[in-house]
Amino acid sequence: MATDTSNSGARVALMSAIDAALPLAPRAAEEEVVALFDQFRGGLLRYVLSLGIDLHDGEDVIQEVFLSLFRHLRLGRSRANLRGWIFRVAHNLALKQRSRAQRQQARIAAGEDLLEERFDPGANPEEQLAKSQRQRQLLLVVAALSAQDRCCLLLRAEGLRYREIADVLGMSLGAVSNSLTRSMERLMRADGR
Amino acid sequence: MNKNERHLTDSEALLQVDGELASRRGDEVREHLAGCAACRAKVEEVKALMAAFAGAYRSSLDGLVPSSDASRSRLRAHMAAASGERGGWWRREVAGALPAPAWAYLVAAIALGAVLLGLRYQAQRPSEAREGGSEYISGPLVPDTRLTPGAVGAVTVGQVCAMAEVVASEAPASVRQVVFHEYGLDGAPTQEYEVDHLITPGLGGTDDIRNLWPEPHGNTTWNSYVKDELEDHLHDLVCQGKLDLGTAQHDMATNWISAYKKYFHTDQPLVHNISVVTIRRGSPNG
Repeated sequence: MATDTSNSGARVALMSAIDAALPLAPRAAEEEVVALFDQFRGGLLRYVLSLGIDLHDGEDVIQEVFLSLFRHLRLGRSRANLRGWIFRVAHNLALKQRSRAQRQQARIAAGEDLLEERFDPGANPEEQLAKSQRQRQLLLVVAALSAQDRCCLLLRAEGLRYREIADVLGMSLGAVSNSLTRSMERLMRADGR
Repeated sequence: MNKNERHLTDSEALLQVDGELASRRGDEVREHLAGCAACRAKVEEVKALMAAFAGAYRSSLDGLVPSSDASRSRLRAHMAAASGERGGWWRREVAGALPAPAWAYLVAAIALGAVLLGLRYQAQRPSEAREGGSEYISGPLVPDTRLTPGAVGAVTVGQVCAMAEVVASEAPASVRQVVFHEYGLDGAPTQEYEVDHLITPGLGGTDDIRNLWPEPHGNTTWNSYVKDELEDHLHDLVCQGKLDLGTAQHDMATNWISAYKKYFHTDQPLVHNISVVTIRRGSPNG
């Protein structure tokens, strides 16, 4: 089993130690990954869809995220802040996937379209109408935000702490707070306050 | 006015709702809220608004999210397959696409660096950094060829083109650490870099450390997203028979920014990253 933090020793020695750092109870890692999958898959999928990639690619991204997690755990890597880790990997993979898709002449802002167009309450009773209109107003705000502000707001809606959001997006805590305040003020205006 | 008599700003109201106020100001805020009905109302309003938004966001997408059963089974199968894999962290996708002997990898790991060493890099790096046009030049825009000459496996064009698209996952933390250390980036903000293959696996590059370098993510013009674009383009050219695989590997290893300019006939990246993605707004009546 490798200890990966030693600064001493030649790079070659360290690299072979890494190569040797193989199985760490695959079964246990597998069960843990599945438990985390069940816990976070819905939120991750919502998040990557709203970054503008389609469902099929989104499912692939999620697979890749949890496979990475599986390797991460099997290699005995840090378990600190696994939720932040999972969202960060998903965020990065989704951006890569999106820029691929864009180059292939795919949709540019499918996420915004999803948020706007898919919000169709369908056959619902009248009393829901006012509520629906309010929700629609709030969702329209998302499309008008900068990409970074949007990511912050959606990650918060997925329940991440500011520290986790900062890690996912590579921002400072203060920048996360400022971003969320900015978005909140826009939501307030859209909500007629 | 005492500190605890100051009304809450919007930002503080949100921090209060989210339980994110630093402890000292948090005490002041709690004291203030105890005596200020207006601020209590404001906090409640913020809480309700943010909850309404989160609810709207979720319900707009939840209908699209299919049951997780199929996806979970797929993940289990992938993990079972991955349990048997050795070595590289990205090879899984490729494994099925390559015939077994090639997959054994003949690790030829041709050190292109021997040829390339000292070629253009020394003179080039400062000018490339300037071309980046950014305040952010603490990380290398092109790798140090002495540390990262590039390494490729013995693969044929046919094998490269038969690969399913590889979405490389992150390098293991320990590998990242070694690469960061080599580049004198100990203590640098790791999330701002991708430890990337100089020659992408899609062009036969391996995850030998000689093929890995810390690439700045988003803060420079020539970032990892731009490099991805070049990698895909070269892969396409190679598979269409318009470009020799060895040439693609060589150009990638020599200076990927120059290669980008050459193959895209441009001085600037064509596609920018997330910060400049255009937003198309739907019609409110649509």
